[in-house]
Amino acid sequence: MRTARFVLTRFAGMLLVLLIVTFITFVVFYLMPSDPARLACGRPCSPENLALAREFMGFDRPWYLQFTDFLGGIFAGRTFGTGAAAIHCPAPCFGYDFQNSIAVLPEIGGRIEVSFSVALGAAVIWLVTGVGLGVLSALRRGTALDRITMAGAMAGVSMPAYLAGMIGITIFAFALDMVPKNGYVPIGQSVGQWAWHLVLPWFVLAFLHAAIYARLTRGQMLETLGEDFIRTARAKGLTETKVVGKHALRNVLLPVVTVFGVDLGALLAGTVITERIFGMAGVGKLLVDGIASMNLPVLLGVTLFSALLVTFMNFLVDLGYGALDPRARLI
Amino acid sequence: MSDPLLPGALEPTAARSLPAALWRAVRSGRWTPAFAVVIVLIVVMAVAADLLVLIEGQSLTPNVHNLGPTGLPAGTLGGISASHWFGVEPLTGIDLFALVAHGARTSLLVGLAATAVATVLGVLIGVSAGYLGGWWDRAVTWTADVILGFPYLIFMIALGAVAPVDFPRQLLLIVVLGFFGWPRIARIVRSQALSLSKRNFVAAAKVMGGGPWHVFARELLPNLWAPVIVIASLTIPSMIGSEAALSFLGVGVLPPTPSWGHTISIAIDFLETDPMYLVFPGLMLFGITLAFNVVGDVVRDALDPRTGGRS
Repeated sequence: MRTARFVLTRFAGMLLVLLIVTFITFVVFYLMPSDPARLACGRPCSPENLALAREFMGFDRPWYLQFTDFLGGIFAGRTFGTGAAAIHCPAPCFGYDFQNSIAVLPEIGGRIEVSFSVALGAAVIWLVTGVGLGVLSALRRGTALDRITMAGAMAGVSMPAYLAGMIGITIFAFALDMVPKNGYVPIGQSVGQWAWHLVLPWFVLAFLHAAIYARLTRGQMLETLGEDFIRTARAKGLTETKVVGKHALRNVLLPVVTVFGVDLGALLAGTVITERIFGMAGVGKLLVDGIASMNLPVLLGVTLFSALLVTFMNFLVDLGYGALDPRARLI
Repeated sequence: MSDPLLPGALEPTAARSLPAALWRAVRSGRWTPAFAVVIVLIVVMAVAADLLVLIEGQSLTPNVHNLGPTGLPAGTLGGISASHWFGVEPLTGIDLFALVAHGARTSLLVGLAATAVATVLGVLIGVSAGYLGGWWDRAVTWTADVILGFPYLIFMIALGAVAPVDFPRQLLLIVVLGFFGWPRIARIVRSQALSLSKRNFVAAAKVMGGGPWHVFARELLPNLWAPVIVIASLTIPSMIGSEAALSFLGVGVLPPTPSWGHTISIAIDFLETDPMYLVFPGLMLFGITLAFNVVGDVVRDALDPRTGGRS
């Protein structure tokens, strides 16, 4: 009962956040003096054609009606224009890319595999190495391993992703010729080639993020190991592996989970940069191309989609937090 | 009497003024003074950019005479010579030292100003939330949570793309980065203000007729300087990094204003033919971020007693 209430409260909170985020994003974007209709109208653009394009796209309506149009599109789909030229955007409709004649959501869907492959692969590597190194340096505090890990952590935190990526490409792709320079192979085509093309981006991203987790885990582990329940566990005669690996680690993972939730947002934004460096056509590339061509529906759609994804991930993290720590469920 | 700000056993140390504590912290680490020197050098480079470029005898104007027949810099190592300290930019022949020095100015200006905006907002909002409590506190906490969970870099990328070209970009970056930066600071300040507001000296000030502004400025603020300095010093590198990332993607500072991020983005196309071009802007960006992180870390260890025994 209590668990159900916890999940429901969090879910309602998530929906409210999404609504507000959508509203703010929409208002900010549509109050900007950039006119998608003018861009779609072509050159030369007569005032009549411009008015027609505006009406077709629904930009002639007041902004609050445009907002409700947009919201309605998410739940019920929407149709642009009338008659033979009408374009239908089925629910959930996150807008329509008039420049490429495709609804924004399928456009994102077609590229999401690339972004997920990069992000999730890197996340697995950095979680394992970060937490592992953090635990090891906490246990071997003050040794060379500890000092090297912490120095590496400092460097990783301070290094921008694109710089690390470019150095990685220069060394491993150009100088040593070990890995592919760029490109992406779909996993359905060849799993081996897929992984081979992703090795460099995975390790570059993992190097940058693992650092933060190593620092965090180390600090938390040192603090936890000084607590009374660890002394109790040791006094009971448990092996050191069990004390550290089970009793302490569970406590250590709490802040790690929290940071991971926040990092997912950064990671999504990070794919914009990673995809640019490694020449991959994912959602980040869609956003960058959208900037170049001032494709407002795509910009709005990608922003909202990532907000949705991050908010949903944070919701999952909240649930995970509740599973790890019974105290968190009491809200 | 136990002090809610200082949980756990703590050895009493002689009271020091804040500047003295900072100075001591910077001198204490083995490597920290070196990183402090890096910060000073880059700040000097940013402030005296015009003068230094004048001494070098170059300017920000393109000069194709510095290039070889292929459009790459003439000479070895990206065209480094006595007259071009860092070499020249491929295709344009602009002196790279001039670019990097003026880029330092952009980077530090945006980084420091955005941190200042975020800190002022964070302190005002955080203290008021922690001290006043009630619905305002709940609203602030919730808003901060929303903003922290927001994919703000994507939002800023899109915003940078649609913002009018004639709007001053540095100002836009400062405002937007500052706006997305306050929740992190407000959270910490709020929890400090919350525990401070329950202490006797605050109650005494209120009993003696001190209004909210008096309590804020005279009672709370002096006790908040240490955590605020810590969080602000660690915010600077992340602001500098965000500016560089946005400029790298072409939505931050727009050319011809020099920016490290923009220079590095050009370097992508020359990784194979002119890798030296990446070295100096990349090193500068990495250096200033690392230096601020290391110094900020030491300052935190010195001013925040909770992490004192840990590192």
